[in-house]
Amino acid sequence: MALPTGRCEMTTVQENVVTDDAQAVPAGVPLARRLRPLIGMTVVAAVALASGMGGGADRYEIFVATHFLAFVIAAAGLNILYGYSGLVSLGHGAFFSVGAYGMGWGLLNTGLPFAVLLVLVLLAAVAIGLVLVLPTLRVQGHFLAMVTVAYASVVHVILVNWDSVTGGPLGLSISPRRLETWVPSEEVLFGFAVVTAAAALLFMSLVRTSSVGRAWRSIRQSEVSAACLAVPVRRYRVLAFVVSAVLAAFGGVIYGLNVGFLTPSEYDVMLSINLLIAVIVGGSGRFLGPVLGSAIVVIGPEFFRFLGDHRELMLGLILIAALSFGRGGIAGLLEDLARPIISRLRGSGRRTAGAGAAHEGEVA
Amino acid sequence: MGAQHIDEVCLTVSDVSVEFGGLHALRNVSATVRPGTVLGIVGPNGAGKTTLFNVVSGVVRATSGSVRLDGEDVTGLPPHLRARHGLSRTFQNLALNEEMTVLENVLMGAQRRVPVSLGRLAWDVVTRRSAARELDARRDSLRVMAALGLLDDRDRLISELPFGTRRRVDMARALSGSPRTLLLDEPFSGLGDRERPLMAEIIHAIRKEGTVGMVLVEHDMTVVTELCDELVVLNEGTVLASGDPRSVLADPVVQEAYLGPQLERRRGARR
Repeated sequence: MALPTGRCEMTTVQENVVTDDAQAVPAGVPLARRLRPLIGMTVVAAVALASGMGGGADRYEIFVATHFLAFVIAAAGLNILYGYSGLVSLGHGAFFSVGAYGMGWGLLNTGLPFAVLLVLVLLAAVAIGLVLVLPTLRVQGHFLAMVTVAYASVVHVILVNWDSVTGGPLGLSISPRRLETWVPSEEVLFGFAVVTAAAALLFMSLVRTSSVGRAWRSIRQSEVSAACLAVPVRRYRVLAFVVSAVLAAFGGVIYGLNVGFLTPSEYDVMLSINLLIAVIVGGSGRFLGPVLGSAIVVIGPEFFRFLGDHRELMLGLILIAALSFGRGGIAGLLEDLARPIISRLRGSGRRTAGAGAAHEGEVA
Repeated sequence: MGAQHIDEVCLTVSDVSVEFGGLHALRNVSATVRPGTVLGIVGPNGAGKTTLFNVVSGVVRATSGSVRLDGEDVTGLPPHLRARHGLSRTFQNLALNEEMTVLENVLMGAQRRVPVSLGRLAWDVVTRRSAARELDARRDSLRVMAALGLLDDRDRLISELPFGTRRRVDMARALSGSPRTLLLDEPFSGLGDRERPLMAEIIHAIRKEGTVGMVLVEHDMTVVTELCDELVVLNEGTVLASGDPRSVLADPVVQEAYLGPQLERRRGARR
């Protein structure tokens, strides 16, 4: 009621607008349209699954694929934190470790079923995330990166030194017998990883266009203007951090089960850096970002096996190349390539509809 | 509609002072805004116009004095809670999210309807109340966008739009979500000759509706005299004069402070 509605006498403004259009435009975006990218992804996943099962993929290929999916889950969370909210974290390896070690320790030392352990591990990630986010709330950018990188190294030190729980430098071996009850084969774990990764990506893409996602994206732009737009900035920063912590821990659970053997050297600062690289190279804030980025970080080195110890170098080169494309990473580059095609298709559609034809011609 | 609100006040600034380490950015500034009226704020650079906006929106805390929105004291509240008391603003630099579409940007105006408590928010998602709210927000945003002639651009990214259209998007965002008090931070700056009358008409239309009170910071004196019901002249953080725009601008004290340097220069040239 308090707004200039159609009955305002705004002649020049109104001339541009057929008021009835306001009713003609559907107010909501149909869920089917929002789910479209997801349907495509599920098909890809199903094909991958089928080829993995039926095509006679060897155990190593399934191992790498599961490793990849564990990274996708964690990177989806980090995409919410960095890609949507603009908060850099070089410490999410800490939550990945919480997931891997929490599940490993739980399987070895308690008789609880897998599902219960999973819930407990994720709740632990929430609790640890809530504690660790508090000191970060006053800092941004580089300072935030420094605080979080400290988390990653502290957790690594704890893993090395807390012998009674983590097994110290030697690590923990999840005994096959205990594991077999819940994860009878690599294929089952792979299937579980596919479903979880799809759910994580679904959540990530649906939340983006919700009021929460818009609030996160406005924080990325400017915390001051977000606050003026009624966004409780600190709460949403906490929320983004905790959500990404939970997804990182989930990725860690799958990663740990996949390897079956937990050594602290795998959960060092480099893990956190790799997770962030996956988001940035893949394309931060984009749907395909975590997928493409994880593929490069996890599967990429497999292709450069012939380089031996120098394959880390290739990752560095890809990182530099992707960063030179700009903030969109590889997903953004693909988008830029696809945009002219899409707009041409849309343009021709509009011309057949007869609307805006003159304007289109003018531009062309 | 305007008549029933005549003795209502949507914004009261009383005796507000702001100090930045000994520097008085504002000194005992008072002003009131009624729904359906426009209060103009003018003054030379550094007079405290931006600080006054920041004190009202909560970005800067007042050293003393109080701010009331719709009769409620909001002096101690952070910006996001003040927005929930019906306060809305446009930005001189627009502050639009370039990676969002026009519709998404305008939908940010409805953020004030989202509960602050995350627990409440989660409960709303479970009970589907948030979906209903989102639909309402879309309807509201599209209505405002239709009134401002933005419907054709609804799915465009901000980065694809010319500046004049971006200003209107900023305005639409400020208007969606039913504000009571609207702060307009130089809404005419950067607009071309064709877009200026359009913006003036938008402001006129809001004024005519009679439910939203506006505060306008603007340099163009013809715009100010044309649009404002009341004018406050700030100089070095203090209110130099206030009242009816024409008489205020005719006041010799105002002319001296505001145009002083120019007059002196002109006198010097004559000699």
